[in-house]
Amino acid sequence: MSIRVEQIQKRFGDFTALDDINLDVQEGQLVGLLGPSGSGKTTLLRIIAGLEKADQGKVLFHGKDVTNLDVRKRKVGFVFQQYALFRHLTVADNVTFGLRMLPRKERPARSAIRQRVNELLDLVQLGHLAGRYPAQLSGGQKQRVALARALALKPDVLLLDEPFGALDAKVRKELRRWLRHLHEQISVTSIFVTHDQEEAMEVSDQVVVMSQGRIEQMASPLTVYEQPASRFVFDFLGHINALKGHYDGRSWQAGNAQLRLTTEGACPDGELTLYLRPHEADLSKTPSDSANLPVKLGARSVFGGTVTLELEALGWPAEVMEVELSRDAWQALNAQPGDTLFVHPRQLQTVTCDGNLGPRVTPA
Amino acid sequence: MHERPRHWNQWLLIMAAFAAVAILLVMPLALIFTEAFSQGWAMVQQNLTNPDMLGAIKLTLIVALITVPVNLLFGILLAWCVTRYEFRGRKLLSTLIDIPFAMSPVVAGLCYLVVYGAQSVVGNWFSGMGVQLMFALPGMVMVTVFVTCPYVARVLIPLMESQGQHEEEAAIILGASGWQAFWYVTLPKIRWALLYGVVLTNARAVGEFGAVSVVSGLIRGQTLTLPLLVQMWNQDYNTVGAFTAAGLLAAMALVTLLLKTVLEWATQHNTDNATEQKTEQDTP
Amino acid sequence: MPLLRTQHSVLPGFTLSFALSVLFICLVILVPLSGLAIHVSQMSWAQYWGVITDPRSLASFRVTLLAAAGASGINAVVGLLLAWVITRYRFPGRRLMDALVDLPFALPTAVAGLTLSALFAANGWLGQWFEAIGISVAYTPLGIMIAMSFTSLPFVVRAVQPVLEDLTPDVEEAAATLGATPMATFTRVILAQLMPALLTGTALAFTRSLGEYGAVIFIAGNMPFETEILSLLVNIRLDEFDYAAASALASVILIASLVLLFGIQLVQSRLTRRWKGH
Repeated sequence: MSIRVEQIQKRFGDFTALDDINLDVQEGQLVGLLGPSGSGKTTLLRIIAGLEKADQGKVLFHGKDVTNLDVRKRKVGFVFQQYALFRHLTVADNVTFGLRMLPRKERPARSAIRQRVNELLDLVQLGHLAGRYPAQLSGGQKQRVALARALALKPDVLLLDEPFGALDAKVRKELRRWLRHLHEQISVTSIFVTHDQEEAMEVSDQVVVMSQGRIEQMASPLTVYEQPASRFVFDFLGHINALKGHYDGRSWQAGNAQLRLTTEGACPDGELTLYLRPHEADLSKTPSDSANLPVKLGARSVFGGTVTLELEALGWPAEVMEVELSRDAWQALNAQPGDTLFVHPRQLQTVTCDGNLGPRVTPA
Repeated sequence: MHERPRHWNQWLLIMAAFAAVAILLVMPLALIFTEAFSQGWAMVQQNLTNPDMLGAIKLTLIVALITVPVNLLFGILLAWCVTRYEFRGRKLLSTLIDIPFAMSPVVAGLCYLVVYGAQSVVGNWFSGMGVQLMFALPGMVMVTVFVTCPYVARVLIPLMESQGQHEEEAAIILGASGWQAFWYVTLPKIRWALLYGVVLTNARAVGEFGAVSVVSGLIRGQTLTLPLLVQMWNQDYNTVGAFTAAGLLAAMALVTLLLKTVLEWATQHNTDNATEQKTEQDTP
Repeated sequence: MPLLRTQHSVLPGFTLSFALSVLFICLVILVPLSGLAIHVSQMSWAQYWGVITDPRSLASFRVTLLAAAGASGINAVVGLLLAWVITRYRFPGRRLMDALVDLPFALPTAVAGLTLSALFAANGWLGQWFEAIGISVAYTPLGIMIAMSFTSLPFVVRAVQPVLEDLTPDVEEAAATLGATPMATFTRVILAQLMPALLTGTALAFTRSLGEYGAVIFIAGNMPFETEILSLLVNIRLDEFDYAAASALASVILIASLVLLFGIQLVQSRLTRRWKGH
């Protein structure tokens, strides 16, 4: 079931939550709405579900206008951040709730219901907890029950509101992977809301980056990261090293740092800001003709196969920089804290004078 | 949570609620004052200065003045014992305190009559010393103590439970004695709840009817509290007088309600702060 | 006291507070109760049974039970209505309504009795309307029921309120996404979660109504076999110096109250553990 959202507008008093939102979600896709709090992502999700009404605009499911259709009739499965399980019902009864709400004519026989519940509980691997009450489950288990409950009625659309927000880090990671896997099994069109970039990037087919009620970009996770459409998207995803200096037409300079590159992105007075991503730079003990950025090695943190280094600029003004190296590159470097090193950017992002993203450049 | 009603049927519910409150609560209250003043302000004054009335007021105050401190002390002791230590029978102790709540006041009066009356072992011993328990002030006080004893404990126990004892333990480690820990650490934390318990205890002590009527003997001028006076004057067909006494008690009830609301807000404030502190301790 | 304490505590004063608390509870609560029990046990079974099954006693059981049941029923409905309206909606006068709910707790029962009897008398403010449609309230079991529902109303409201306040809107939204109609959401989700609190409150109201004395005797008329409640009969027997009969009757109320009290506590703790997990 494809979803289309046209020119949605929503205000709460003076506050504009959503401003002219247009979105196309194709059938079977898993889309992540990513953005900081206040970006409007949850409001958009709830409008698609029918839990809120937009001031203007349309919501279409598979071409059919459902804007004024009551939430009960939209056949959406909704998973809430705080699970919203019925605490007076067992796990099994929670999952069958939707089936029991069906009008008598549509309701399946009791044996069919029981079978469906068992199927669903096996799907979420909670068959052994069918008789328990929500209060006796862990957070991760509760969320899986909520998911099974939402899927019971075979919805056309699955909507998840920060589904892993209330769980701790390890459980979050596990469930993330598990959701992705589930989606591959049951390809129902799904939209989920999150403020966690890693989550959005890992799970989604498409990422929709939102800010202040507007959609900044909708693209695949890779595209959004490598070809950000706006300054906000670039800033929001991943860490940035901001290098502010002066461009004279041939090279960028700040203090005793220098980069030789060709670009048109500088301001009339020669000011040029460059953005450097932590994993788009190398480190060596000597400078080169194209890049002379002396730094002092500070703290180092290892996580998995990546080493993140904190570097203090030597003789030129910059905030503490972060560079990521692979374990092997780090070991080959053989440096100690306090050593002087040189940064060699492989690629840089220019920022235009009015604050937008300029072209990408390579020092040469 | 509190939303402005949007549908007409929600307003209907609100109207129904107002109707129920008006019929069951507001009208009875209004009637008391209407009847009391039905023969004018002068009559009210006359009734209020009637010797029987003054005697009843005095007796009621004495009973309350003795009952409240006794139950205050006991309530604190019990709450401290039940919330600061772990021991077998802790739950039982805290359930026992609820018994007066569930009992018929007349039955309570009867129990006291049987056990502490003149023909019993205890009563006999006291009569031997010239002190009469039942059908006199002591008995009335005892029975009132029984009926009002749960209030302070019931307010303190959940509060002290949720506040935890870390602060008192810190005080002990710093060298305070048990008494000092209580006075300087516990007392400031529970003072609003304590006041609340006192207000409830007082309201009940002043208003107790059934239990006191059984053990008082209803001796005019001697063992009539205000509630008992209400009944006596009603039976004498002194309706306005009865309503005047009732009005006095109703006015006290309204003051109680006011104090209760204010103190409820202050106690909730305290409990919220306490639980906040507790969760802050749990997350590093 | 190693036998008694299950955990060591740094705080001193256990012995003192425990001893004094136990002493107080014994003197004030346990001794009088057991005194009654002993007194009753001194009666022969035949004597006891004779008092209980005396027609007048049986009539008073019937009057009290029926009126208490009726009053609790009224309280369940009205109490739920009030709790719902106060918790869920915002309207002028809400806070006043919330405060007034406690009036029956604060008002002496004799005062309640006096004013209710005047209010519902044949020429009273409300009584006259009832008379106009042919219903007598004063001096009838209906009057007893009204007096009992006045004094026990706060029990239901205050029992239901905290549970209502705890309900989060997302659970109702979840029910809506699963296709539940507003009525189904109310009965299957909200009311189902309120039921234990509602039952507890109603049971407490019932217990209180069984023993209610002051508020009832003004309006009841107190005619034996018709509008005589059990507490009044106990008092009458006391006036006649028939301590035996009074004790026997009192023991019935006492046992009923204690059973109800402990029963309510049990159900409450059972459900709390299941639904709240601790």
